[in-house]
Amino acid sequence: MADVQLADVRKTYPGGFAAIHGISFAVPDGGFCVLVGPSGCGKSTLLRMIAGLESITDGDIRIGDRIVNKLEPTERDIAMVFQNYALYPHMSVYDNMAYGLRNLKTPKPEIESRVAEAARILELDTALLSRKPRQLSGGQRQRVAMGRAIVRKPKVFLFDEPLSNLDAKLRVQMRIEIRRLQRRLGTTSIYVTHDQVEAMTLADMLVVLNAGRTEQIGAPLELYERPATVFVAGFLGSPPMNFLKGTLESSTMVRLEQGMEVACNAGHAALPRGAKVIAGIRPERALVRLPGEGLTLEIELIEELGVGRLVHGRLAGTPMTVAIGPDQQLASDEAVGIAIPADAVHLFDAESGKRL
Amino acid sequence: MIENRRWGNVPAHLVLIVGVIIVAFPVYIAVIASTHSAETIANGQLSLLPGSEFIENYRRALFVGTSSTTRALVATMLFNSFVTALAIAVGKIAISLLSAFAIVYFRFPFRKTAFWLIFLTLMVPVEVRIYPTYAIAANLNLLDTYTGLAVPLIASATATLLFRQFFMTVPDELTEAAQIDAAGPLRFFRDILLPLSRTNLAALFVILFIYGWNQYLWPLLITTRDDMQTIVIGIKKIVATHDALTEWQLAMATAVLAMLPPVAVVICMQKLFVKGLVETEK
Amino acid sequence: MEKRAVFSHKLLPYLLLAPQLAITIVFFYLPASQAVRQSFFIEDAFGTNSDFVGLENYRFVFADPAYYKAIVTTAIFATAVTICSLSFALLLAVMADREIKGATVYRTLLVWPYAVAPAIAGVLFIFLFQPSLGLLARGLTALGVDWNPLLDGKQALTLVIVAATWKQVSYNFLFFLAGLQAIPKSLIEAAAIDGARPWRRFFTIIFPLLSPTTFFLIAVNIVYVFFDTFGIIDAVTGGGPAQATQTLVYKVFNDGRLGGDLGGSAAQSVILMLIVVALTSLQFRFVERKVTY
Repeated sequence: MADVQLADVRKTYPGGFAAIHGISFAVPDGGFCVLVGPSGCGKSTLLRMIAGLESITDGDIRIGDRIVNKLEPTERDIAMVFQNYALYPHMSVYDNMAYGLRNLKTPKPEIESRVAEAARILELDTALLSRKPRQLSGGQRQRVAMGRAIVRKPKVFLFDEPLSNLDAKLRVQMRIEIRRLQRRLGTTSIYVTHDQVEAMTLADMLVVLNAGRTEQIGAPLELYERPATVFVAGFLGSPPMNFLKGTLESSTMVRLEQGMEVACNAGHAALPRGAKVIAGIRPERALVRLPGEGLTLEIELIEELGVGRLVHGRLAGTPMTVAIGPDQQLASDEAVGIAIPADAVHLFDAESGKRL
Repeated sequence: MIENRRWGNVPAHLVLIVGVIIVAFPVYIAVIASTHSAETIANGQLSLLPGSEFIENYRRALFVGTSSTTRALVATMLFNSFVTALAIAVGKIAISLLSAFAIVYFRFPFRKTAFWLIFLTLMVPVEVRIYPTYAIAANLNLLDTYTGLAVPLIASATATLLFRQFFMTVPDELTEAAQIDAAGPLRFFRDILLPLSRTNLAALFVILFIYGWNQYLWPLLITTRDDMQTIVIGIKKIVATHDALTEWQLAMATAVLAMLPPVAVVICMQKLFVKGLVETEK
Repeated sequence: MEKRAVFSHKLLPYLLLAPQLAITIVFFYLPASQAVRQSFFIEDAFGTNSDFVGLENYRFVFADPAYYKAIVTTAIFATAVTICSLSFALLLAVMADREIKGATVYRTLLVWPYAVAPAIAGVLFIFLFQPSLGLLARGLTALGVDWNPLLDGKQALTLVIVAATWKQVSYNFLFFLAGLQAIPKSLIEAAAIDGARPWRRFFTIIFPLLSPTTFFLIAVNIVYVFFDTFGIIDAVTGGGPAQATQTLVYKVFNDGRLGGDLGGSAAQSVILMLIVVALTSLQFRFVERKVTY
């Protein structure tokens, strides 16, 4: 067991391309940290740097009380689950799990008991142990890949988008299993994904990355409720937050570009009156009223989700989506009134994108 | 089929059958001739059906030799061919595997240079540098040795390029998983890369065995003693003892024996053979 | 394209490369550079003395009528073998590509001559066409042909061409068949729906799509005629009669051995190397085309 600390970690490729621009965070012992961001944001690179598969240009990576910058992957006491599982295709399931232990000269009985234990924890049928990876289903392969990580009893688990090859249903199931397993073993874990739902549900601690920098670090709900930047606000949540441009009229009022006024809590924002801002409203926080009441949303399309509906429309020409519950009725399917509570409005500086 | 032809596939079958007959005819005649007596052939009375001298001809070719010359026995030459072909195939595969592994899985100064040094050998077939190569082999005392027959033909770019290409398709994650599993380069090579290359290895072996077996010019130069000859050279020498004296029934028996191993390899391992042929030409 | 996952080791890669590089240098680069060197020297009959003569050997080669004759012979040989074996192979491949019963059996029956050594192919054809006792030679004589390849240069060249073609058909057949099978069936079906009859489909759809394979095979066949037919020529005619079947490669061999003219032979080698470089780069151009088609 160990905590993981990154201190101003940087990566610049020989060609001069900087992939990681000084990232720092600390994952407490036993914590589940998810690195999330769009593709190309550097999250996989960062994970591979922690694993020792990618060199570190600058900064320190610490696992437990050791700085591991120069250590080989094996010496870092980590285990990794790869995106496409990376199971050795010519070895049996048993050999796949035992390979690393054998290379470390673990005594045979010890290997046997550890593999058996891993199989038991993962509910892998012992009959599967003699099969080759290609004879397994996607979910089974996923378990074997995790088994290979578990038998090592590492200080840290690293997951590189491990669920992206599974179909939607299995992905949800495996997501729950990974979380349960991690709780049970209590092993510090760092998990990379581009899927914000996966990120929200798995993490104790979420690190949102964008273009090689951290946008925000914190607990999932904290990030969801108080996104620090427009990027985080737009990235977390599905359907995504609506953004409306406007100017600050007073500390409690924004005038939208479209001319309407929206109440808000700019609080102690130090911005002067007339500053350009972006107002963010989550679809589920906008309230539906009768046509004519509040702001008018011209409806373009209604998506039925079963658990509710998404109303896509335009607010004076700007696209906006509102989520409503299954019981809620719409008076008209052409236009509807919208009310936006002041505490539902996130205000961001239009220039820096930072939260006000 | 896209449309119904009036004659079905009869024309296609006819063309193919004629093709097969044309392709098989010279060999068929060789087999037939190897079962007749010298007189039948010399008198131009060879028929299209087997004769009665099968056992006698093959016994003489294999273990007695032709009467007019003191050429080596076919059994000896078959053995020489076998050793040479095996050494060439195994040797080429071994050194190519290692060099391809080095070029793909390591970064080191002069890597590109090494690659180009190997790659350029594609452009210099043995035929165009035959005498200087011979001189070097002679200086190294390799005349009339198996080493001399095989080693100069072992280095070539084809196998290296093939393995390089195959290694490039092995997912990086497998290598990384092995690195995390505490496998060093040699262990990775032995435990992961070699087993994954099995099919390619076998396919290449088939092609290279045939290549080695069918070598002509190099063995012709490097061997001076009859008992070091390979069978492909031996048969030419049996024939070249000039016309009327040629014991055609023995020459044909020898030819059949010389064709048998590589043809058997092609037919029995057709899948591997086709794969090997197509891949080496990529 | 480069690997992302590599091993770091200072000495190991050099050790791994050592065997191949050692053999390559000793048996490729050393001889090749010696051939280049020799081409600028003239050795006396005992090989004890050699004088630097500059381009004299080259001038001599290009002044030699026999060299031009060898060029013409090689050109005829290459053209004839390439055209004959490619068209025969294409015909067979198109027939075998139809989903007829026994396609795999036909393939097996057609591919094995690849395994026959060129020299042995040569011996089989001498036997068939030996003027006095060859089965087919007697047939030709019966038809009134004055058949004697041992004396008639044109007949000798024909015989060598036939033997070389026979040997190469299986190779071309395999590649054509693979090329045909790589053409998506949906394209051919689309053409059929567009009303193209089989003959038209072949020339407007199949043959154009096969052209990368064809170009590749043309290059391979030319290289084959240049080098791999050495065994056939040596077994069938020994370059004769009157040098009628002497190709460029065979002349390098002959001049160096019988003539003992190592300088001239080396100069021819160097010229050949240049030709091979040209041919090989041509081949790569076509292979690249195959990739980007």
